Amino acid sequence: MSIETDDGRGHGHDSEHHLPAVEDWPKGFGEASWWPFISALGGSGFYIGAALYVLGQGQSPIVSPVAGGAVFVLSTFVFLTGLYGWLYHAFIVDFWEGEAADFGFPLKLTMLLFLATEVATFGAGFIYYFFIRAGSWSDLPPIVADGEVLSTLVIANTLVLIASSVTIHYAHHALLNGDRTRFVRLLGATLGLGLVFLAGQVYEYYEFIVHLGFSLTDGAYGTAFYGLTGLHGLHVSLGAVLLSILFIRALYGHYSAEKHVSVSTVSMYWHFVDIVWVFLVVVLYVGAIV
Amino acid sequence: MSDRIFDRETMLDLSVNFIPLGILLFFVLLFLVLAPFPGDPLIVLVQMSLVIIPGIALLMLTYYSGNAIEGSRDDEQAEPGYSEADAEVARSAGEE
Amino acid sequence: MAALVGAVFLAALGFVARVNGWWGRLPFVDRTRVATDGGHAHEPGSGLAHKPSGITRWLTTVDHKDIGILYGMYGVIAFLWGGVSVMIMRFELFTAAETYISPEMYNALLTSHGITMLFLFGTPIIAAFSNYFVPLLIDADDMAFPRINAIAFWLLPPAALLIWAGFFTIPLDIAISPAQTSWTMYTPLSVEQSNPGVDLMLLGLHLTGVSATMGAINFIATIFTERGDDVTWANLDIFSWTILTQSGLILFAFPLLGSALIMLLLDRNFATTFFAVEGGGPILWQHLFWFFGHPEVYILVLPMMGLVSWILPKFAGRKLFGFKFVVYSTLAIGVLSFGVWAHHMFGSGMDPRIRASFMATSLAIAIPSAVKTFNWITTLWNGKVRLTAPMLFCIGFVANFVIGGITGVFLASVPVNLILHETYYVVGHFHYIVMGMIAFAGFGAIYYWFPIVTGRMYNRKLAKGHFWLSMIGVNITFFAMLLAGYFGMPRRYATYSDFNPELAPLTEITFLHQVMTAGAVIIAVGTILWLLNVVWSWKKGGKVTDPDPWNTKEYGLHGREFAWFEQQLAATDGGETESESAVATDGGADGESVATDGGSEQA
Repeated sequence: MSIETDDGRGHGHDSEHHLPAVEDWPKGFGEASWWPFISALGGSGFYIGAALYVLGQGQSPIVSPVAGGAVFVLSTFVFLTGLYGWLYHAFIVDFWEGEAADFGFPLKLTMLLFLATEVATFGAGFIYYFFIRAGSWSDLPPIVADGEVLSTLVIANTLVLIASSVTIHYAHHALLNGDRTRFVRLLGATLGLGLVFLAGQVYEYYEFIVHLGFSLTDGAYGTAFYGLTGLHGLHVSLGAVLLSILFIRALYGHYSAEKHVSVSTVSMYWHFVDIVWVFLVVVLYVGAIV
Repeated sequence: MSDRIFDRETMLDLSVNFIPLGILLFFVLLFLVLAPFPGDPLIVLVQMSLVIIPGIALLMLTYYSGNAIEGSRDDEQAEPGYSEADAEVARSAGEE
Repeated sequence: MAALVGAVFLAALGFVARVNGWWGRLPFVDRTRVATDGGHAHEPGSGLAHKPSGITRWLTTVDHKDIGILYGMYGVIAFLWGGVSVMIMRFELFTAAETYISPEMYNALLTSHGITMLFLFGTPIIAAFSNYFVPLLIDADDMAFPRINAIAFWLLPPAALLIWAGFFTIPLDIAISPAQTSWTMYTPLSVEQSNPGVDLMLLGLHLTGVSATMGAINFIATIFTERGDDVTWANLDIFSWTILTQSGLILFAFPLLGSALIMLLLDRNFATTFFAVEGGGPILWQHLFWFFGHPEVYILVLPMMGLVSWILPKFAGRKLFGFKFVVYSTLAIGVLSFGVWAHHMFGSGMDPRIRASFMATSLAIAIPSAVKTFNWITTLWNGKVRLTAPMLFCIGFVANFVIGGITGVFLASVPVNLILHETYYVVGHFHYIVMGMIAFAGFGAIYYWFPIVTGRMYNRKLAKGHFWLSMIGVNITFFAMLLAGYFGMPRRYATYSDFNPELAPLTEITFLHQVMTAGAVIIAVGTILWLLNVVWSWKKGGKVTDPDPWNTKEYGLHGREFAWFEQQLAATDGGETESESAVATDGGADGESVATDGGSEQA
């Protein structure tokens, strides 16, 4: 998730050595930083939290049922602290100091590689769906049998997400043309549309679970539906976080026609999430009822 | 991939990957000629794709990597992984 | 509240960071070593420190060389646990009946041995070499993303704790026991085991996957964007090529495994149907797992082939024969490895036509591997072979690969596979690969680069003893496994006392098991020699003052990493190369080499 960003400065043989952010903590060392350790600690904390959650379930829980959640929340703070410290020192503190062109290619390549891993991540879920769709496609929940799964809400939501892809594309264009106001506005619109999409998803879940009684454990299709839309929803949420960071930084005056690498990378991510959603609607919603 | 794209020497280098491609092609032809099991179109499609897709992927990767490697070839440069200063020593030794 | 706890934690960390005394006594933080390996040490009086001292240095480091060492330590610890677990199993198998450990404990050790060796030893030990040496070989200043590199490493220790958690909780007598799923974690067994130790292991495995994926992205970005000006695709070294290919495999294999693991966790805890009969079925797990699992084999073996392709020519006195063949065949393996996964599941009742396809691709992938073998052998042809310890391990690697590889080709064939796949034949085959190749190349590389990393030389006699014990032990143990497979000994059995004598001759099988145990003891003794050698030499070994300890210059085979090492040594004399100077090694013997070579290379 944070993979698209690092301070990979240091290429170029004119520089004497590889110096990461000199304002880093601990201060004054060329090749030392606490932030990776703290980020990794927080990142692992999610797994420890999940493990404690598992141990806290069942008839005779081994640890307190709240332990998992508590560790998870704590880890989130640690993780975000680590990421913030790292990214702040690497990118933000001297944003206008660095050379623009230097890291564009590595960072965009890295985002591309990250998206390749995402193909594999989503791939496993889709393979499950194709397995059940091509295999014993039976015992379907009523919403599939009635065709209710493809509601106007989904179609509207899809249009919202596609629109957000368009707005971020033109936001980027506006930035490249030097039209900052338009850039910030369109970026804000993208973020807004992303949040609307997420709200729509939450509303859809609510409708399905509470009113139509269709939940995660509702047979093979329920697993596929909530597994895939849930995974996608997590990605949209992460995208919304990234967009918020972009938006806030844009409000603070960051980015220009020359320095816009994070806008490019987040835009790549957002388009990817959008494409996955279109594919998902085609196979999981439409594909279930045709 | 014809000789116009890669020169003779490069084709020789790439030939290493033509052998597995040949094996894949052999099996595709074999499966087409000898099909002892009843022909379910879906299964046959999967069967063929499983051989043909890796073959195509291999062909593409060989082509692009061949391009990248030959495109950056320079007779003056050091041997792979060896230091430039050392390459000079080796070159001068070779000239003697 | 969370912030408060965080602050307390950070204060504790700071406290630990100040308590340096115990740390400095460990061999790998030897002051001298710090200086000679990378010249980053804080030399008293030099003014600017590049790294803090003590444990803080290791926790905060973003230097690829330090992280490489951390990966190495981690891999070695995992290797030792993997070795101990298998020795317990081997002693249990010395007799046919249940003797020392329960079958449950046997299953747990079996699982832990596999998972540990593949995920906690194999991948990290490769990352150790690639972190340390790829940036040096491609003339980069560091990895493309030094901090992601550090994060990727620091995710691994908690992952190991989670994976091994079931063993740690045995003394606590709580309801967590080690997972007994085998490393393949086949459903429905892995779904139905209610032991939460399985969940912890799955979470830990997912974490190692995240770590490996971050590392892979970093390596691809590094090799694509951080190469020095005179390093092009045409003269990229073979080790970096294999790391690039390996990272490409990780990019697709590990995230897919990650998703599959999450699906398994959901099945276990939230009653989803991913691998249930009414959902995707157990066969879906096998497909997903082996779509990861077969590339994983090449993820482990390709970089080791790269290491051998790099090291073997140095002691053969010749350039690698057919360098481009090795490069292209590496890429071919990379692509084809995603198309062969179902040969691990020929016995699962797949459609025979589809099995035939996988047989075709599996036979095809044997070619690029065989090509490499011939390249290594022809490199040795007419070469001036010098049997140093690294070279011995390289030759052992090739020899073991001939057996391990050819036994594998037979398994690609469906009819042979159906007979042999559930027997010790398969166990013998893949151990020839993982121990006879992967571990051998790792040992060879450790010896080869020992002078660079530690600034000292290992004990040559011990190293040769280590090689011969390993070579003999490996061939006794794993050849006996191949034979036991022909006799019909099934895999994964904790006891074999009540076999049907019609199907499996108990006398021969018992004898072969005893041979295997004896062979395993020989390997263990060799490994102990290695461990003693490395620890002792790191601390007390003779200091390396010759920047070309392997005399590779004589043959025009001087690698960039040793050119960099020379600069580091030279810096101790003149100090003009880098301000981050190293402390003086003994004598000024390296002065002359500075003069002759000019140090024109960039580190």
